[in-house]
Parts: sequence; C-alpha cells; structure tokens
Amino acid sequence: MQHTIVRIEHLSHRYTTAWAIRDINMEIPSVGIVGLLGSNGAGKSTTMNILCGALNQTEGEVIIDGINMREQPREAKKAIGFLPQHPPLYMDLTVDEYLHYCAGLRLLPKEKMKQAIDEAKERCGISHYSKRLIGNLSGGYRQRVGIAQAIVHKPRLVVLDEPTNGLDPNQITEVRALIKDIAAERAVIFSSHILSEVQVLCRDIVMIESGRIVFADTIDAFNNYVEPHSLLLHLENPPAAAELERIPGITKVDFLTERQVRLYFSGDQEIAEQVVATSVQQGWRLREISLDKTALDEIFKQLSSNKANN
Amino acid sequence: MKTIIRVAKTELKLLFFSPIAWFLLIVFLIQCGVTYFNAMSGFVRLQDMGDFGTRFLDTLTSRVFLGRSGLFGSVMQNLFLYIPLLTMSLISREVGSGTIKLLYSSPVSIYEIVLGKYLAMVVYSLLLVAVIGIFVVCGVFNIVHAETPMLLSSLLGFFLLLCAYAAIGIFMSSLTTYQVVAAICTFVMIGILSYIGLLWQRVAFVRELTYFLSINGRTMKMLSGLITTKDLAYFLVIVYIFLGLTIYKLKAGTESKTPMVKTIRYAAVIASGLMIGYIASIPALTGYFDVTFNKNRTITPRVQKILADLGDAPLEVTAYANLLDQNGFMGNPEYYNDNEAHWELYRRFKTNIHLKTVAYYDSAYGNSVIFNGREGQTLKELAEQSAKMNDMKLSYYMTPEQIHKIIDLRPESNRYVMQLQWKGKKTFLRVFNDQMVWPGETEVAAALKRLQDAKVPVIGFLTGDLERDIDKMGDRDYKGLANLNSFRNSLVNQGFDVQTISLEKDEIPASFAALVLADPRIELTPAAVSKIQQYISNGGNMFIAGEPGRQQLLNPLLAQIGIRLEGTVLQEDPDDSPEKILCTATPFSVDLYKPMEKMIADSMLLRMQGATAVNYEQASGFTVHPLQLSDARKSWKRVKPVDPEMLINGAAGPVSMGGDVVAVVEEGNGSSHARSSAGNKPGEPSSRPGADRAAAGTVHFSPEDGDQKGPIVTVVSMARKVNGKEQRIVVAGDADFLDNKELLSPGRSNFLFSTSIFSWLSNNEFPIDTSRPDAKDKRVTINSDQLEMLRIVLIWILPALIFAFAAILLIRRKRK
Repeated sequence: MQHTIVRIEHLSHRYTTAWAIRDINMEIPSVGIVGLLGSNGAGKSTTMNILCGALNQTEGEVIIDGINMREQPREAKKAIGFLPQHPPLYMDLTVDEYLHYCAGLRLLPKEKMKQAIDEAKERCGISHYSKRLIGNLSGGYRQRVGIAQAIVHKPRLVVLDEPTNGLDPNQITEVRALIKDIAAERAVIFSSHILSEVQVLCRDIVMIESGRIVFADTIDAFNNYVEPHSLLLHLENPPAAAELERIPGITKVDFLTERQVRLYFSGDQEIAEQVVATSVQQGWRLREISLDKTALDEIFKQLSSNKANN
Repeated sequence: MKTIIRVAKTELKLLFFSPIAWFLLIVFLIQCGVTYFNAMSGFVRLQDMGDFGTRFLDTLTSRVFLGRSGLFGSVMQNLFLYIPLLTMSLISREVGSGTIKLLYSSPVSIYEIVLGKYLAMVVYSLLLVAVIGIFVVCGVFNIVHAETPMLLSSLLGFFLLLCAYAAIGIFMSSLTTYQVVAAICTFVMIGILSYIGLLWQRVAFVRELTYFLSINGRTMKMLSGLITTKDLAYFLVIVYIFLGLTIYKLKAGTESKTPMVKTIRYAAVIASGLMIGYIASIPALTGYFDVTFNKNRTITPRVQKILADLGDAPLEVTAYANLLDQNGFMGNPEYYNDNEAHWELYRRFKTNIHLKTVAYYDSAYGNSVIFNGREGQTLKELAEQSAKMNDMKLSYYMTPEQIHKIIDLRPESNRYVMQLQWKGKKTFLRVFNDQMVWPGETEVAAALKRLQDAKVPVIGFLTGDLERDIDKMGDRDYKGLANLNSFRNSLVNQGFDVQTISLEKDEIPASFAALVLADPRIELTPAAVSKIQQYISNGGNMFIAGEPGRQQLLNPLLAQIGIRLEGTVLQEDPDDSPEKILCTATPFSVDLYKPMEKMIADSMLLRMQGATAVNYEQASGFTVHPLQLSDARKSWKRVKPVDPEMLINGAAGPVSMGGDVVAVVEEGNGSSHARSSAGNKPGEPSSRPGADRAAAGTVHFSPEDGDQKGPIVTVVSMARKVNGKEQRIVVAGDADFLDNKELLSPGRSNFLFSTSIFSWLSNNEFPIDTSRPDAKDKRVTINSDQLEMLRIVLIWILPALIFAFAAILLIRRKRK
C-alpha cells in the first residue's frame, strides 16, 4: 500500500437545498497524478474547492497529511497549491509581483521567496515574462502563471481544476507536460471532462457523476473497463451495408457519409485485421481505419447504471 | 499581522496601479485647495484693506476651516462621494474574478484578509488626511496664533469619518459582485446613517439607538475641537460592526451553515457593537478632551464650580411645553434628543441631570400662526388643529385642567419653560425670543445658582411717583429690563428677583440688593424721601436715573450724596435730533463688570435719549467714577433749558472740527460760532423773522450762556463704606437707555451696560460671568499676492505634478 497524502471521507456538500456531492470517499497517493473526471456540473469543482478549503463541506472530513481541514484549516492549507477553474490572477500586477504576493500568502519565509519564485517560473517556462503585466499575457501563459502560483511554495499536493480548459492544442500539450513534470515529486489531482486527457496523464482516475463517485481505480483498470467497440472506415468504393455485416463480429453498420462508415463490433479488437483483409479482398479501397473508443458520456452512463445496479 | 500587511500592500499596489486612486487624490487636492483659498482670500483681502477691514477678523482658524464653507465643513459634505469609489471593488473584484479562491485556499484567516484590505483603505485615508493636512499646515503658517490643537482634532475627526466610511464600503463590497451596486449601497448606507438620527424618535428605546447610530454631529464636535470618548467609541463601533459583518459574510461564502446560524452571527456582531457604544455613551463613563485654546467647547470654570456645588443630589429638569406656544414643538418627541444635546454640556460635569418633558395645551400669547383667523374656536379645537400640524395626536398632550393640577404656568405666560428642581428647591429656566432661543451658559448657571443660594438678590423698583413701570411694555417702561420672561437679558433671567415697592405704604426691606428709582415724574412725598434717605444712610445700594427737565424732582434727594443733575447734554448729528447722544464707556466701567471690556474693545456706544449731566463735585465721602461720557467733539452741556419739542438740529460749533463729514458741512455754513452768539435760542423771539425761520429748531453751542463742551459725564458709580459694608450707588442722567425701546430693539447693545450696573449693585453675584478670553487668531500672515502664489502652487502645480507622475507610472506599466 502506497503512502497517501489526502483522505476524503464521506464528503457531502449541499448548496442551500440541492446536494452537489454526496458521500465521496477517496485517497490520493503522495506522488503521481490523480484525474478527477466528470461532466460539467458533476461536482468536480465542488470537491476540489472543499479539498482546498475554499468551501466548507456540509458533511464528511478532508484529511491532508494527517491534518483535518475542518479543525486546523491553516495547517492543512499549507500543504496545498490550488489552481481554480478561473486562474486567480490580478491583471494589474506583473508576474513577479503576483508570485511574490502568492508566496507570501502561502507563508513562505522571506529569504526563500526569491529562489522559490525563480524555480516556479523556470518550471512553468515564464522566466522571461517576469516583468510583464499578467493582463498583457496570452491565455496559455496566464494559465502557466496560475500553475506557478500553485507550486511556488512547493506544496505536497497540487490541485488543478480543469487546467487545460480554454487553451489551444499546443498550449494543452505544453500544460500537460508541465503537469507531468510537477507530479514527479508530489501528488497532483486535476480535473477534466476530457477523457483522453485523463488517460494520457493520470495513473489513477476518479470519476464523478451527479455528485457521486462512479469509478475509482488505476487508469489501466479504467482502460479495461472502457472497451472500444466501433471502427471508423473511409472506403473509396464502399459496399452495401449487408456485405459489411457479413464480417464475423460486426453487429451494426452505420453510414456517416457516402464513404464513411462506422462499424460496431463485439469481441476483441482483432476484428480490425479482418476488416482490412476483407477490404483488400473485395476491393473496397480502404483509405483510413481507426478504432473509436467509447464516448465519455456513454461510459458515464454505463458506469452510473452499473453503480445504480450495484 | 504579516499577512495583514501583505494583503494591504498588494491592495494598495492594485489601487495605485489603477487610475482611480490617483484621480480621486488629485480631485480631492484641488477641492481642498479651492475651498481653502476661497475661505482664506476673503480674510486676506480684509486685512489688506487695513483698519476698517481688520475689525472683522476674528476666530480665523474656525472660520477658515470649520463651518459650512470652511475647509473641513465643505470637504466633509462631499467625502461620502470619494470613499465608495475606492471601496466598491475591494471584495467584489476578488469574488468576481475568482481571486478570492486564492485567498480562501491559502493558509490565512478571513479576518486577516478583511483587515488587510481595510488597512489598505486606512492607509489611503491617511493619504487624504495628508492632502488636507497640507492646507492645515498652510493655515497654521498663514494665520497668526492659529488654533493648531483644534486643527489636529479636526484632522482626527476627518480621519475617523473616513475610516467609518471605508468600513461601510468594504462590507457593501462583500455583498455583491457588481462594483457599481456596492458603491451605490455604500452611498445609501452612509445616507441612512446620516438620517437615522431623525427616525423613530417617538419610541423611547429606538430613539436612543437611532440617535446613537447617527453619524451626524459626531465629527462636528471633533472638528470644533472637542474630542469625547463617546464619539471615538462611536467610530470604533461602526468600524467594528461593519468589519465584523464583512468577516462573517465572507466566512459564510466558504461554509454551509444554516441561515439561522448566519443570522445569529450577524445579530451578535451588531448587538455587541451597540452594547459597546451604549456603555461608552453613559455620561459617567464619558471622557472629554477640549483642545481649543480658550476651552470654548467646555462650560466656563465658574459654571463648572456651580455644578460641582450641586453635589451628588440629582437635578431634575422638567420641561413644560405648551402645544399652542410658539416653542411648543420643542415638547414633541422629535426634540427629545435636541434637549439632551443642550444639556450634555452640563452633564459632562454633573452626570445625574434627569430630563423630563411634559407636553400640554393651554392658552398662549403671541403665537400668530395658530391664533390668526381662528377667532371663536375653543382651546381644544385649536389644540387639535395644532397637534395635526405637528403630526401628533391630541392625546399626547395634557389638557389645561390636567396641567393646572400639576403646576400653574400662567405667570410664565404658558411659554415653554424648564423647571429645575434640586433638593426640593425649584426655579424656572426659560427659552427666549431671540436667535439662540435656548438659554446660554449664563442663564443656566443663574438658574442653578438660584437653586443653591439661600438668598436670591432682589432688585426693588419704586412705584407710585410715575416712575418707569416694570410690568408694562411701553417704550419708556422697564419690563424688558426687569421681568420680561422671553427676553434673555431681563433681570429675572439673569438670576435676580424683581419686586415693586410703593413707599406710601411699604417700608424698604433690608433684604433688597438694590433699589431702583427711575425717573419719577411727580414729586416724591416727604415720607418717601425720608425713607429713601434713611435707606441710603443705612448703606443700601441704589440706582437712580433722572431726565432733563425733571432734575428738580431728584436733586433734593441726590443732594444727600452730593450729586446734582444739571442741564441737558446735546450732540450734533446731521441726521438726528441733538438730544440723542452717544456715550462711550469709561475704562473704569470694566471694574464694574468684566464683559464691558468687549463694549470698549468694539467701540460700542451707549445710546441715550435726552440726558442730563451728572455733577458729582460735591460728592464727598464717596469714591466716584464716571461710567459713561458723551462725545468729546460733538457734544456739549447746555445749561439753559431746551424745548424738546423744538429740538431738530444741534450745532456744536468749531469744536466739532474733526475730519468728520460734519466738518465739511461746517465750512459751508461759515462761522457758526458767530451765529450762535447772535442768540437764536429756541423758544425766544427773534428780531429777524427770516433768520429766525432758518435757525428755528437749531440749538447752538454757546459758551457765553455757560454751555460746557463735552465730554460730559452722564452716569457715575459711587461707593463708600457704611457699617463695614460697601455701599454702591449708580446715578444716571438718563432713564431711557434702559427702557423697552432701547433694550428690545434689534441691534442694541445697551443691555451690556445695564447688566453691568445691576451686576455691580448686587456685588457681582449675578449675572454669572461666562465670558471667555478673546480668540487670538485675528490676523493673517500673508497678503493677497503671496496667497495667490500659494494658490497657484497648490491648485495648479502640485496637482499637475501628481498627474504627470501618475500618468507616466500608469502608461509605463500598461506597456509592460
């Protein structure tokens, strides 16, 4: 059993009348990335806000490094770096001023401050923007500044709420790399509603739907769970649907356009080989073939119903 | 603490990296400058005018800095416009932009965040204080003997008001994410606090609460140099309440407590704040600190002593307010706090003064608003109408029958009056028909002293020989002097009792402080003369006033003390008849009564209408001092009788050459001396009819007839020791200067002298001298040109420099 840094027990939160999360239990290991997956409004941000002390739970406990957040919030918060969904930036400050302020808020001693800020900037690749106004930075860099403030005090737990939201693909790649880098020596929990992102980054995955945990395990276990079950083909010379259905294992054929076909199948993925072979044989002129993993919402649905059945 | 400072620092950075802070600073600087230089330039110009202008220079510190158009006065009126613009973003910005989560998730407490932000506002407030401080420093250097401590107290008041506004602002900012809404709510809240003192005045408990919460007047006291712990506590309570509410509001944002818990918390903050405020405003726990040079906000030591002499026994003050009286509204509940405020001056030194108001309706006199056009209505109907006008129910007022059972106020004309009661003794304290209405320190002190004194000085007025009457309101009568309830300077309101006495049947009581014999028109009976003579030889104090033409009525009596009234004093005045003379008080008159200093310093003149000269050459055994002298250049004593009906002009002759306008007229007339020697006496037939017509009504100074050039003594004081006690007598050659016409007409200062006479005659027991030393800040140190220079520097150059600095800073920053 790995050492854990966070233990969440029976966490529930109610906004006035409606429960946002209900009976959440989880543990976060002290090193590595945990992905919190869920659709919009599932309760990801609520969970994270409670985890960071920005919100006080209705029921349950958050224990960070053995310290109960409710009882000793000051002590518990020292171990946390938090990047909320909207990066908490002051547009009128420069990067240095801002990080200085954040470091101070995190009670970093004065003599260590400069070095810590330099390290954080270095890590996030914003060293050359030190003197720039945050308001004048692009979205990607702002996000990096946001991440820098979350790690400036070298917390043992970094909480990132949808850190790649609103970034362009390049920036997303960079930020993902950054997260991986950060997680090398500490625990990172980050939320996303993009499955692929979680699959790429995380070792553990927690899935929330309607305020409840519907799945919590390693990413490998998840991948087993989430089986691909359709193939996307581009055929220059497509046959009739009936012909495609004749391939063993194909359960359903769907023409998306005249030349694009989705094949639903059951069983293992070896079926792709068979489709290619048949195509060559029949002269369907296959141009493209890809394995389409199940859409997230379907998995949610699936998991939710599983949970419900259990 | 470190965190608080850190938050404050960042807040200030954000403030000064946005244009608003600079903009407000510059606007404030200019506003202060414009107000200061407007106030100052008037006085500087007056001083530049010299002589005449400088007469109006007085209490300059107060006039430049306080008052509606003074620097503090006018700036404070607009202050509520500045603070909300600064505070509106304090918390709403954090919530709106999500940065609040940074604070929430950091190991800092919410109170540190709130206090940090508040500290930033306090620092900015200090900056505004510094800006206004620039002008305070200017004032200290520009005004001779400026009241620096008072100005420092003003700065403190200004600062505390800013702090209170900032606390309100920060709370409003925590309520909404819309900054504009936060600003408007702050305006509204400040507005509520300004007007709350007027709300719910009819409910006793709420009245005290709302009055306490009222921000009005809190700073005014501090501005004018009176710091009280009560007011300091008020500002601290306001800050405490609003910061407390802010902290709980933000805490509520991170918690999911039931609305019940939240409400209880808010209520607890407010209740504890009010409790602190209530305790602080208990009179016995209130500390006062009067920083003005002359202790202007404190009652004078003499009055303090009188209050101290009351000891621990409570003083009950019952105000009787007649609805139909013109001051009847003062009995309404809305005026309860006004009443309290008036008494606060005295409560400061005697905490157990209990105030009570009894409202009733009964007949009233002289209230035209109610009585005109309503003839024939019953008292009850009138009262009903009047109650309606006051927005009151008639049941609030006692009926005439009910009030008569408690007290008979008819001798007080049923006017608004306060009955003071202490150790079973009672006396009345009245309000007056003048601008101040409320009794001043002198009147209050007089009433308090009357409670303590075993014997109140009685002034007896002789009647029966057609003397001036103290119960009549005619021009020549003495009701104003003696016992007009509604006139502040009446003897009855200054501590005396007055009494009439007719010597035909009565003896003169030995208890009289002084006896007044004012202008008898018929000869005194021998019995009366002998009683008076007896009284005088026994050492009784007297005031005797004669009139020209009737000297022979008094001279036999006055011979006893060596005084002779003779001739008529006349004065040349191109605009008025010669029998009207203006007298100057002698320096000795200050020995009678100290406030006479003011009359002399301000060159105030005593008007007399037909005076006879007081000759005291024969007054042996007495120390005699002239008190009033007629004009040295334009007046003279005429020995031959004059006909008052024919007196139109006076000609003092060449003696009046004094560079006055009169001199020009004299030159045109040629030799008036020659003409006067021709002997055109009024009433005498003239040999030349034409010349007679031209000269008719003009009385000339004629030395050959024995006329004597001014100054002529018109009032003397006499003193001698009789039976080991000092006897004091004042003889005046005129009785008119004390009559209703002279005392009650607006703009007259005769009462100062009349008061001095009776003060001296009663051994200065009354009236109680509550005068203070004159303020010293009567001159400015700069002239108009220098002021203009300073103006350019402070209104143009300094703001321009700040603007340039801010612009460069902000533009450079924006480019980063």
